[in-house]
Amino acid sequence: MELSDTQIIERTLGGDTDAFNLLVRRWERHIYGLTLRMLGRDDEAKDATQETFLSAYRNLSKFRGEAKFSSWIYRIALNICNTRLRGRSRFVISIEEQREESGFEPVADTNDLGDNIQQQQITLHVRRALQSLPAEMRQVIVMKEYEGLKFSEIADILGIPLSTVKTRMYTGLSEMRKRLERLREAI
Amino acid sequence: MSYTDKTPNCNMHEAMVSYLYDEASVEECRQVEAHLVECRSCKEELEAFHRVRGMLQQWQIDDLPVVRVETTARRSFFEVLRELFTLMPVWAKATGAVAALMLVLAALGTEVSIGKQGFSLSADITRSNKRSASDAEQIRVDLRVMVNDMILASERQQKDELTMKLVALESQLQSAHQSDLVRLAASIEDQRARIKTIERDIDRREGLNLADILFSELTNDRDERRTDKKIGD
Repeated sequence: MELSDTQIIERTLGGDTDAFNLLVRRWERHIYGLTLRMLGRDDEAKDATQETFLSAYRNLSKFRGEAKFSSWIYRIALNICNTRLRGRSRFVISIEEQREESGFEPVADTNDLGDNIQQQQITLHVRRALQSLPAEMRQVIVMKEYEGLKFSEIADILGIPLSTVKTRMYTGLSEMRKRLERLREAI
Repeated sequence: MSYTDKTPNCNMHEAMVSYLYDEASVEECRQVEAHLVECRSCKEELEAFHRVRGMLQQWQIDDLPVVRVETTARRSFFEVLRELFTLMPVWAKATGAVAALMLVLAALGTEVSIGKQGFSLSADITRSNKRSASDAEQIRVDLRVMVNDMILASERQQKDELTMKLVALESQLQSAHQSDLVRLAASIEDQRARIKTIERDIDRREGLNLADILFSELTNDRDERRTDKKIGD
């Protein structure tokens, strides 16, 4: 029978420190996905993932069983991402935002390209469009769209009202629609 | 059926995202569906959101980082201390032991004396009679003298160090000055040699010019004489 997150935490705190690696293996894909989509850079996302699990291990005794482990570790990961995003140069972000807000220029006539290349193009533009969103909208979209969390869970993780989560989701989707509209026309 | 454009009265944002992600209640579903029948703008927006979701899903992650968390057992403070003591060299252990012993003796108020009777120790707690006020005064005076001596010694040491630094600085300056003078003298000699070379060059040129002038005058005289002779003939 598979151990629950809470059982693994109890074992880890009880001295079986290797048990924590079970949690790492179980959640690393989710945390990496979250950090990559929040930060947009592979190497930085890998560092943030490592940092998240290290922080979780060090603070495991502070984890209260009332909340789900997933909510707790998502919160740690988001805090780490937000710290890294705040540390980035404002100048670089503003240039990126200016470029993204004007829409996207497809690099070539995509009708002539293979499906694979076309998908890569879409992925690239989605990635850039997502990066150009304000972090508070992006984190809601990422948690909902890629992590499949319920709105109430997102509200719990972020510590904000449910209605705020839904408003951010709506605004975020509207912004993504604007940014991706030209790409859709091109393909 | 008549469609309307979106108005601020639509006010369906929250319900629409709930509906989009299948989290709407039965009542919300009914409201949204009824609204979509009437509002063309919201209907188009919902379709656009479905397309955006489709595009978002194109970004999937292939690789996975190798996450390693060093999960060594947590150790207590005493365990860390024990390990530190084990790793210490012998001299450090001995120093630590002496320091600890001195601390204990100081805490007990132990008095150490070396006299004719040899080395003796006496702890305050073993003595029945307390020190008299005169003893305390004597200790205070001794302490004051000792502190003054220490301050004077420190001042003397600082003064000596300062003097040594000044001497070293002066020596450095003198040697720098000497080397500057030597360089200057060499430079002057060099300049003198150049001037002499230039003077010699000028003399040679002047000599050549004089020879040219003399030579050209002689040639002119000869030419004139030839001309006169031809005319006479």
